[in-house]
Amino acid sequence: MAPISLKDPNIKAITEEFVKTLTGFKKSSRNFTLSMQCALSNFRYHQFLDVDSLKVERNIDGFTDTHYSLLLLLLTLADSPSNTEYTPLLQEELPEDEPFDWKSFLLDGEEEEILGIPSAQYQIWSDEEEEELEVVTDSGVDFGNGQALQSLDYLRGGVECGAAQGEFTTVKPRSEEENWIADQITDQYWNESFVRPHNTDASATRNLSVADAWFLHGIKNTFVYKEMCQEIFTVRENIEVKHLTPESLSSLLSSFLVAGQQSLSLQRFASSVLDPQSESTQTLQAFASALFSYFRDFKAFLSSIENDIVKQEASVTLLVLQKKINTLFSVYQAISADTAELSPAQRTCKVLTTLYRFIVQTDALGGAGKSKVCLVLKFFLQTIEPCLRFIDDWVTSGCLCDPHNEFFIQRIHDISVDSLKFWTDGVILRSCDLPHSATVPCFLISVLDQIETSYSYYGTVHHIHHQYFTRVSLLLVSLYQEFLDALMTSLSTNIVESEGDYSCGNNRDGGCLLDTVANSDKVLTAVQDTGDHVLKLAFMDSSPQNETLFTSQSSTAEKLSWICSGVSKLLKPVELLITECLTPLIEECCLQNFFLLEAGDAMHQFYVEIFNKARRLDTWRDTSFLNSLIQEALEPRFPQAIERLVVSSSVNNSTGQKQGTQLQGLELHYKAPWPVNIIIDSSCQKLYNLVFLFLLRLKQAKWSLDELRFSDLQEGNHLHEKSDSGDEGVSENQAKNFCDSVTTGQDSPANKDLIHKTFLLRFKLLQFVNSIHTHFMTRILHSTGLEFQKSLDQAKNLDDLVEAHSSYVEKLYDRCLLSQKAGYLREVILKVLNLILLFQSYWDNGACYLSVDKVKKIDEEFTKCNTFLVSCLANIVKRGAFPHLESLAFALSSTPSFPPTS
Amino acid sequence: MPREIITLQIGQCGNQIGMEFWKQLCAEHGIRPDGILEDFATDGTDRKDVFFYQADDEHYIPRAVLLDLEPRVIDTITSSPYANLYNPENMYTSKHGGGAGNNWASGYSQAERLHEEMFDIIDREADGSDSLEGFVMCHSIAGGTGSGMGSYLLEKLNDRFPKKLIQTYSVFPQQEDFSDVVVQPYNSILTLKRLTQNADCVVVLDNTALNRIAADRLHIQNPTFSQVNQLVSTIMATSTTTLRYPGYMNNDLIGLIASLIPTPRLHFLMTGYTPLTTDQKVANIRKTTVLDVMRRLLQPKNVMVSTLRDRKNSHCYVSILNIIQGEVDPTQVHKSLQRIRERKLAEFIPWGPASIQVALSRKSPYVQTAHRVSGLMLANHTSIATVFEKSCRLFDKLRKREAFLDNYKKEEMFKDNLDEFDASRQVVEQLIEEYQAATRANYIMWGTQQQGASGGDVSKV
Repeated sequence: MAPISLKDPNIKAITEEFVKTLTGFKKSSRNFTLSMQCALSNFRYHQFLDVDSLKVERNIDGFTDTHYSLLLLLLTLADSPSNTEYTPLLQEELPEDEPFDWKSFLLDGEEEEILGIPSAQYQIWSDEEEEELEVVTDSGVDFGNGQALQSLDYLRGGVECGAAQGEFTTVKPRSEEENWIADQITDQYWNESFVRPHNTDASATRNLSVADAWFLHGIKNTFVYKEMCQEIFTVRENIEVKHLTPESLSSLLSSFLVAGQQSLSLQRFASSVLDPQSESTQTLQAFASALFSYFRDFKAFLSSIENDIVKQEASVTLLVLQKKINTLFSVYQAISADTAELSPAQRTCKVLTTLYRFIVQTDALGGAGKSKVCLVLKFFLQTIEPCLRFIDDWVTSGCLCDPHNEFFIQRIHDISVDSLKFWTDGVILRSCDLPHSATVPCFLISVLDQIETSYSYYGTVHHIHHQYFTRVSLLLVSLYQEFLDALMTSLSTNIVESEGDYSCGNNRDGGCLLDTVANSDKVLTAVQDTGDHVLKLAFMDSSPQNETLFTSQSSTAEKLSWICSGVSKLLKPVELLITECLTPLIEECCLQNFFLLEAGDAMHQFYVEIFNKARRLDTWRDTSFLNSLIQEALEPRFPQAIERLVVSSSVNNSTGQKQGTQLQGLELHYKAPWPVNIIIDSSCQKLYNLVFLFLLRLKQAKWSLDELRFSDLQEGNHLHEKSDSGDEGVSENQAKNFCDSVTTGQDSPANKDLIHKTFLLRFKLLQFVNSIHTHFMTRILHSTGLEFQKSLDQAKNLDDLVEAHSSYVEKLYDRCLLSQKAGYLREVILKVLNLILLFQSYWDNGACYLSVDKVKKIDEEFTKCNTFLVSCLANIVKRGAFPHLESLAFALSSTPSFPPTS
Repeated sequence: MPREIITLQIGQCGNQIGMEFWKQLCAEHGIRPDGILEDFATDGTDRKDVFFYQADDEHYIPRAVLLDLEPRVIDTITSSPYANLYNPENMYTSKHGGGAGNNWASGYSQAERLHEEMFDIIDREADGSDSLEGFVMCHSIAGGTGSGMGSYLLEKLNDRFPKKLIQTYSVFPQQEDFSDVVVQPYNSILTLKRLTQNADCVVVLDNTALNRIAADRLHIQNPTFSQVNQLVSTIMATSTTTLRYPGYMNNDLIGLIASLIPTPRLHFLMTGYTPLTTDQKVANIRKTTVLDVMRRLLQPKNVMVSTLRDRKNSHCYVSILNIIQGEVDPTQVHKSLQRIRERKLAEFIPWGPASIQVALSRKSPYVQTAHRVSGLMLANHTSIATVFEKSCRLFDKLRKREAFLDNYKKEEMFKDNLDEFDASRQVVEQLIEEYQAATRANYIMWGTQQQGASGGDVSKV
């Protein structure tokens, strides 16, 4: 601060003024002088030179410490006004009021099923307030009294009609009052912005219109109308309006009276249906709820009109509203007319059919009926929801939750899913005695069959394997998603199109079109809120259709088709399901695996053991042994089949160990799980068993030759091996003696020659049996299996499936030469197979038992059979009768008919 | 109860082939180099238990025995990503680590000394399997360890497991190349005797042909060991494919090879494989049909044995087994067979059935191949005799000069005399004779012509 130049005479004057103002001393007083001195000295030297506060104090009366400190402060401040250190008060950091989501906090971990409760808490409803509220709503007459409304303003937003959101099954029960309040509240009244009329300014006309509006709300006692008796209203008599004659007034009022009455009864119907105690069907509930939400919008609209009236800013006519109510009422009447004696299913049907017919009829009127169609369509779409949901559940998950018996299909619970009858009789239409039209909504009749069978399929699939089932459902969901996306795009283009139309100046339809677009948008958003896929689908499907409907002035026929197409699109998954259910069935046909030995490894283990025993002439027919054998074989790869596959062995002749009949009587029994037993019945299994036995003999022959070791013939060591392999036909001693007798000839050229020839015979037999084996395994089983697979893929339903399978089995039976007409071929082949077993037993007994005659005999027999087969097959092939035998003929003919060893 | 197969890898070559083989099997079964099953392979319907067993922690361990007299190759294995795949107890390298010095006799006598250790491992593996089908041995017949130790093992396995199959994958040396091992004719003949007498089935892998195929078919000028070994591993893996992917057809090894072998000694098989590409990404203009594959398999250039011209004999097929992999309709197979026959693409023995067996098999879903269909041929062809003849000629040349015999004489077996050389030579000679006899229609009477032959041709003691 620049030093004050005290030469300036102003300083003194200012200081005087300053002191005077500050202390209030008289200029003449001594204290004033002292103060002056002090101030001046401070100004001059920045401090009071002659500090003698005591002295001052003594001398100044009333100049307190406070004064002094004030003065000092000012002076200090004057010193350097900017030289301060301001430390703001340490304010406690108050946590910001975050909007805490109590709902989610409280509902954390709860099930989603409480979705039905509104988003705000109800706890704030005290009893008192409830009473007040009731006063307000009930005695709406006193509309000038806004206090109660005001006091409850904060409740606005807390009340959202959860009940109207379409959650029929999972609405959490609330107290009746809450429900009632939630249901009856018109949002707009709770808005602060709502202009409350003032009594004093009210004109009679305005009041009258407002009263009408209120009446339309469903308020029973207004000052215009009074309740005569139950639901009959009249206009109060003493009402006058200055600019209207009493007659015109009363006629006007009565027309509103009618509308009001209708509105009232509609609302009563809605609330009675939605009443949790009432046993109304879901469809009715849906309808009522549609009504309900309609009324909510309606009321909102009314209140806005009311507002306008009160503000006197616009002229309003209520007549428009009347019409809409009228339309709805006529629908309602049609629906509720003589429903008393109808079953729930019939009633449901009636509701849907009526709505549908109404739309169709009104639409036929063309442009005139458009607004009506618009209105009722919305209702229809909402009302049909439970029905669609039924279909969806039915088709995709097979569960039918129908507490009110309203759905037109009925599952007969007496027939278990496992029973054979299920397929044909498990599902019926309700009230079969009545014509379809009485129970099935007319637009669903065309797809009825599809819906019905889909359930049976579902049951089928579900019962096969859970894993397939989940796969199916996964697939379905994704399909929906795909479908949904496609619809979305088509919808948006539709909207653009229709908007384009509009801007093109199609004035006639313009207003309506706009309405439709808005409408479909609304429906869409509503739909998107709900999680249900199928519902979404149905809506999405109908919404775009909706627009095209209006833009193209479509005919009734078109309309019918779009609804049906909507539903049949819904049934797409059914077809999918059918094909999907085939896959597990194919898998389930693991009969192929066992009976036809496709599961080579497991079955190999099973039969080789038997062959081994049979080779050693051990007993192997013990059933428990056989079963444990097959279980052991199946365990690693087919654990699920263990329980289903049982082996039995009917002992025809225990001593009949004649070669070739060894395996006779061995039988596999497959306990097919439920849905598969429709396809695989006992007669089928018989055929399978015959094929199985044939293949087993083939395998045995091949195995017998495969297992022959050259060393067994070349050395005498076969005896040692034999002795530990159990019983033999010939006692060891005997054999030894015999062996000794021929040992001398072991290395003889003749013996060598014989052994060599035996080797070559083995090779020939091996080639033969290999050819046969390859033929049956690849050309027959493998190819026929592929053919079967193809026909399975083409099968559309279970009947096709059964058909495909039985023809498969028959083909197998035929091609394995088991049928009568190929009997002679089979006999020859079996003869060779027996020869092979005989050959094996010779080989096993060792070189010493081998004789030229034995080998020669087998060789001759074999050559005969082979020649016969080759010529036979050549003939057959020439005739072209059995195309599949061609490869066998070819394979066998490659064996040159070389002369038997002589 | 799988029909387990134990693989014995002997010597440098055997272990190198084996290593590639296990790589291939792991890839086909979706097994990681550390033996853990890949996530995508958990629900396969293949049979891993034929060649692998599962340890307590579920990871797969090959039923493989790795034997060598020098640590080099086995050390490479243990430092490869596949180090933890093998059971370390199944790896045996000789303690002094000197190898066999390309000396059959050294390999044989060292194996004799290591008998206990080797059979400890083999017995343990055999006991660890439910129903052992047999052994597969990989080795080379030219070096010291593979041939000498391999020969010893063949003899002893026959004694110990008389009922078990013994199949070998035997690599025959380059016929024109002596730079590596000059004594390979000695080693070859000595080993061939055991292969003739003690093995049930020998798959001949001719290094000459392998290198030729690598150069001509795969356009690799100087094929590396691992490239050639990949060829071998492909053949080994494919020939076992019907065992590993069960189906209607042959589910055991014996079922596969029994029909290929008419008499005890005629068990030397040639192989062919098509289509051949080492690099799967190579753009392929081929159309692979069943007929195409089967025809190509019959072409000599695709066969992995280089046979020589033989003017005296008209060599022919004794039997053929084609293993066709891929999605194949059996009717196509039949048509192809007919076509082959009509065009006389294959010459068969005059004394027996001319049959081409075809086994259809699945492909591994985990290995991407460029071809829809691929095929392996296992053929018993009499011209294999020319390979043995060549070996004999080379042997005779060395033997006449008594060259390089000092190292052999150091070992027990040849201390006193060199009879074993001559006995082996005779066995091989008989083998050649029998193959030549099989080309003629009167082979059926061959037994009587063999009157004078000694008892030494007894196969399988």
